[in-house]
Amino acid sequence: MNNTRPPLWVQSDGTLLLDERHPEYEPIRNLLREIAELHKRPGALHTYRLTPVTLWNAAASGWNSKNVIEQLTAFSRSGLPRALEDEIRKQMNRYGQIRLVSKDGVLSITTESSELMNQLCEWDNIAANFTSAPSGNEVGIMPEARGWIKQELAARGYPVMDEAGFHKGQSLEVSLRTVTDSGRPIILRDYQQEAVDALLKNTALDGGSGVVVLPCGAGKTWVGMAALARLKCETLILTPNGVSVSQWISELLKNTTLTENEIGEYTGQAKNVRPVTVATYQVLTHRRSKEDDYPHLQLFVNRDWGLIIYDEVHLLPAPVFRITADIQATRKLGLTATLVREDGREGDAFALIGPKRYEIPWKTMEKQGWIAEAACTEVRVSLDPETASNYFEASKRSRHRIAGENRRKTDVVKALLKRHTGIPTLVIGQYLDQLHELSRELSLPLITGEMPHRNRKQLFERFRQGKIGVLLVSKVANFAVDLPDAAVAIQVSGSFGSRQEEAQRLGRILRPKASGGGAMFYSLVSEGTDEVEFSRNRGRFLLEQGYPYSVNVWEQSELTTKTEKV
Amino acid sequence: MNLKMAVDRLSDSIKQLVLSEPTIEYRYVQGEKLEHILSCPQWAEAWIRQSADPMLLDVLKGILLQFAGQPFELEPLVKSLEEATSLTGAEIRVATVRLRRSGILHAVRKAWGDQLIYLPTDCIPMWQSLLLPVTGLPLTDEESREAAVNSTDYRLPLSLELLSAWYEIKCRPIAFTAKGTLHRPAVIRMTAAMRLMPEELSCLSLNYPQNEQLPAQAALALDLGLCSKVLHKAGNEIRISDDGLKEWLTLTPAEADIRLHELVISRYGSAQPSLHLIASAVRSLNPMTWYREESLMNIGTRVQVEAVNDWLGLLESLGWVERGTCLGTAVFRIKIHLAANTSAIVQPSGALFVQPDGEIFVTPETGLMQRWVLEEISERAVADNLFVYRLTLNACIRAYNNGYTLHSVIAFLEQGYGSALPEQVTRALQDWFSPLGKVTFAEVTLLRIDNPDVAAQLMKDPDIAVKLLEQLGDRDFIIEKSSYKFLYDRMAKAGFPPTETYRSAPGSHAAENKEDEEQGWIYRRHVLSVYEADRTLPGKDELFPGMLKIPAAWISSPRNYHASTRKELLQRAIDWQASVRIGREGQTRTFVPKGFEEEGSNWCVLGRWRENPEIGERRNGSTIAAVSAEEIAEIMILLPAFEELETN
Repeated sequence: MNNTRPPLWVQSDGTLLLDERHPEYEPIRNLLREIAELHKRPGALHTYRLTPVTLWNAAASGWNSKNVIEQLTAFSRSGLPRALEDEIRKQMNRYGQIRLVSKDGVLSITTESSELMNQLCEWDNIAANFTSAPSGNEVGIMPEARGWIKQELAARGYPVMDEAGFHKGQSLEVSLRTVTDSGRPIILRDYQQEAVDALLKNTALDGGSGVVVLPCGAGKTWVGMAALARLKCETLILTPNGVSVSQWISELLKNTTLTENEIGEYTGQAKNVRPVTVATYQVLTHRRSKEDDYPHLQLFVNRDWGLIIYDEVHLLPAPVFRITADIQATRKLGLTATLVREDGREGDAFALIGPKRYEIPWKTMEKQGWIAEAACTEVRVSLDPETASNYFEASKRSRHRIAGENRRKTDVVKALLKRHTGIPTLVIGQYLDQLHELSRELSLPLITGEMPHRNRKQLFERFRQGKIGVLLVSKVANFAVDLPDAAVAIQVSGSFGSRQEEAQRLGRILRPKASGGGAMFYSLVSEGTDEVEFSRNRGRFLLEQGYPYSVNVWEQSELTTKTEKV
Repeated sequence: MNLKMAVDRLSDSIKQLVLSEPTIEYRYVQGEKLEHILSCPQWAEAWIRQSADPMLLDVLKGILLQFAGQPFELEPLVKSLEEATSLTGAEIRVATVRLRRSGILHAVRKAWGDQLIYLPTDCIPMWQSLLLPVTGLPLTDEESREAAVNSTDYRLPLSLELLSAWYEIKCRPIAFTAKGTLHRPAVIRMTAAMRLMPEELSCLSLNYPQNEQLPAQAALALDLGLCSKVLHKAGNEIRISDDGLKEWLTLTPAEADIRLHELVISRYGSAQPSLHLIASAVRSLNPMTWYREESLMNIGTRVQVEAVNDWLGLLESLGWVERGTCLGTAVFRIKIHLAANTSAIVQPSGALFVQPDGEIFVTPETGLMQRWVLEEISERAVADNLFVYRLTLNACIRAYNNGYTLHSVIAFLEQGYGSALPEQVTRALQDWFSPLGKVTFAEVTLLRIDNPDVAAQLMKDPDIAVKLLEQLGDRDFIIEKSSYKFLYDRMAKAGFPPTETYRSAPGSHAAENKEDEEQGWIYRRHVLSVYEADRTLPGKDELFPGMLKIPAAWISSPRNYHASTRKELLQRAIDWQASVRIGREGQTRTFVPKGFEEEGSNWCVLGRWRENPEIGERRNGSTIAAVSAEEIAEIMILLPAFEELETN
């Protein structure tokens, strides 16, 4: 690409394409990080998107439309389409036009103009929550409608700046330790500190609640613990699964002054509510039948929480959103590796959890050595003739399993384990039969969902301690399992095409290694089967994040690269 | 009709006269072609300087304003110019002939002898810029910074909009139904690929077949496709013309837009003179420079705000113009070169960016050929400032069916990308292409023999055996189509005359109708090519009937005549729509007589005085004057100079 011309292409729908090879890449990347969301970066051209939520987030961080338009125009090769310019102006100017304030304990909404107040009054479902007729540009609202109104107005394209403040919650004496039990000093990394500062700045206004975006392996738990230590209040932590609950508890005990008596586990197995309680989304959304209420949502209100932490906030289920709308006076911290939700409810997260307060991209972390560099390799393994014949005759549904369970993959796993002898390795699979078979054949310990949590914890702990070099795991290890020393992951089978799955699995091995080395991620794929396409779909997400795959072909008991230049 | 066609149709006699015009002759003897000379602005400037006089220029301006590229009859021209200017009918008629002699105007004769005169459509921009130029200055740099573009939906330049629509036709030609209408689903598919909406073309008042079923943008895509020969009617369908497409795809998008712009003006804009003039005026402006819209309203008194708004709105919809406001004034700028100016056209330097995830980004400068190939080998995901295509399994299957191979796709992409493809892309293409072509349906010529014994016997003949490509079972053989005749004869000679069931495949292309292509899809008000060219210029007596019968003094010097002769002379002037010079009380003035008012034996002539003819004042008095016979001392008919009109 010609370096004398600006490196940014602006499409009329708000898609922005940035060439990373251009000398001006860095400053523009920094700009886009603030105002847009990175959609993908599979090669030299990175795709960002401007959306209402990203523009509101930018406005919340202090940007205004004039700055954004000027900068985009300056960096854009082909100028800024006027309709997009108008959209930027409209969305960013909307931020702050509606404010939610509290005076003497009474909640009210103020609007920048009387026209806007008239507009609000015309929306019946909004006006139904007013306590009286507007007085000028101000109108009282029912306290319980705080979250709902924000959510509804965001859905209508009007973000609400929530300056009503948060209640402190029950105070709790807690701080980060200075050293761990093993004597290692506890110091927050720069970006973790910055994330906490960004979250809690301007607490007098709308600060104190929001989302922190950090890649897998960046230590999101540390941001949560630091926020807790700063706010010193009773805290509810919500996570996607039981293993993650255990890990949060373990980290809290290891790195904060909290004691076991102050930390409760609220899961399918245990229901302890304590000053700091760690629960799963699953238990909160459990109910006996579709007609019943969600009994465990009471957890949100049965203590005076001063902070609620939503781990992997992009997975937040709808019922939790609903209850979150009702507890808007409580500070909230969302932690995630991506703001993109599969259900497209980014606007709800913005309205109910808060704006994005901090983000640092995956590759930047890698460059700075905070996460390990990873090399991803797809290994193509042919089917033996008998399996190939079965595959050909099987129904479409069965084919994926036949390809996934390709027996020849065992040889590849063996060869890879041999190649990486002495390096902590995870072997991850989709099919339990296959994993059990591998476990038997290779005499390796296996963790699946069938295994009791206590046993799982023990195995993970032994792996962490280096007592086990290779661990076989099912999809239970996809999320929030901290295995800092794992440096090699071998994926023997995966689900059909979940774009998140591959990234989550890669994330397991991205913690920086004590050795300083990189991580290796292998995905074994049966050649000539549908698995190739499924793998391509799964791998595309990684590719889009900047982790290119190389493709090797398994031949004659060794890994060789078969080049097929034509 | 364009200039080339008009020049091609000139009769030898008129052509010789045209070539004798000094400014033309000078260039012609240096080897320039007549149509080149007549379309050259430098020649036109020279002609204005050396050969034209104010009368001629007034008539030409009047034609531009009143008719632009529309053909016209003489009388309406005379009538309108007499009303709008001080020109007399005689002057207008002589000027018209002189303009024909200079190769500027051309004429045809309808079947019943009526004459239609016209300015070739492609000459309008040249004459407009010379005679009715846009007078308003562009916005200054400072003002331009204040210009804000109106907020509108993004529009592709028409060249790219049509490429997508035409590609749909390539995939699925539009067939005519049994009722003769176009197959509706195919039309819907084509229009789905377009952003243009029918209401955006309403100012053109397009009239075309099936206009109740066919949206205007579809008619436009078909019309422009047929006229530019990318499409053709073949048999019972409209489909891509391979040759026409090949030629079209050699263009850059910028060149294609210039061609399309010319077609849009000549086929649709020219139907309304005011639109045609504005179109020509816009064409003469510099790209990416802001102008006030009101500056277009100064190019002629007949140009109306509505027409300016219509044309700029149309160009905006076609992706060629941006409109906006600057300090409360409506402004516009052309986004791309609309006039052919080879030095200004950026040659394709567009690049393809092939991403490892199989997406291909296409820059605006990328040529039409590359874009077409991408349509054939990938899936268009985004049509915007940058086009985005995606390589997929289905796209590879389509590419294979379009005749591409793994090798050719990789070679094409690498050439556009300028380096080796990302490994992931190569791998994906290898995966997707590897099963293609393994199984093929083929039509072959089969030699079927009644029983294995005869088959065995025939195979013993080495000359026959060598022609049998492949044996199927024990009595069937695939043979080369070209061996048919040889085998037929040989079998017959061997005593097994074959049963004649073989039929050659029908021709793949139905007869093409070249005329339909030229006519396009949209009706035009006047198709001059159907008329005979007017092969002669009128002589003196034709212009002024009875000239040879009047005394020479009537048109040479003012004299005193008897009242009855004065009246007769005045009547002749009225018939010829000429002015007269009247001397009275020692003064000479020019009068344009229109009729008589009689009372008994007294009469007076009604008309208008021309003011200050001595100093070249050519405006007529606004009031009707009556001049009695007694007031006229000396009189003569004033005819415009026409010696050089001698033609045949």
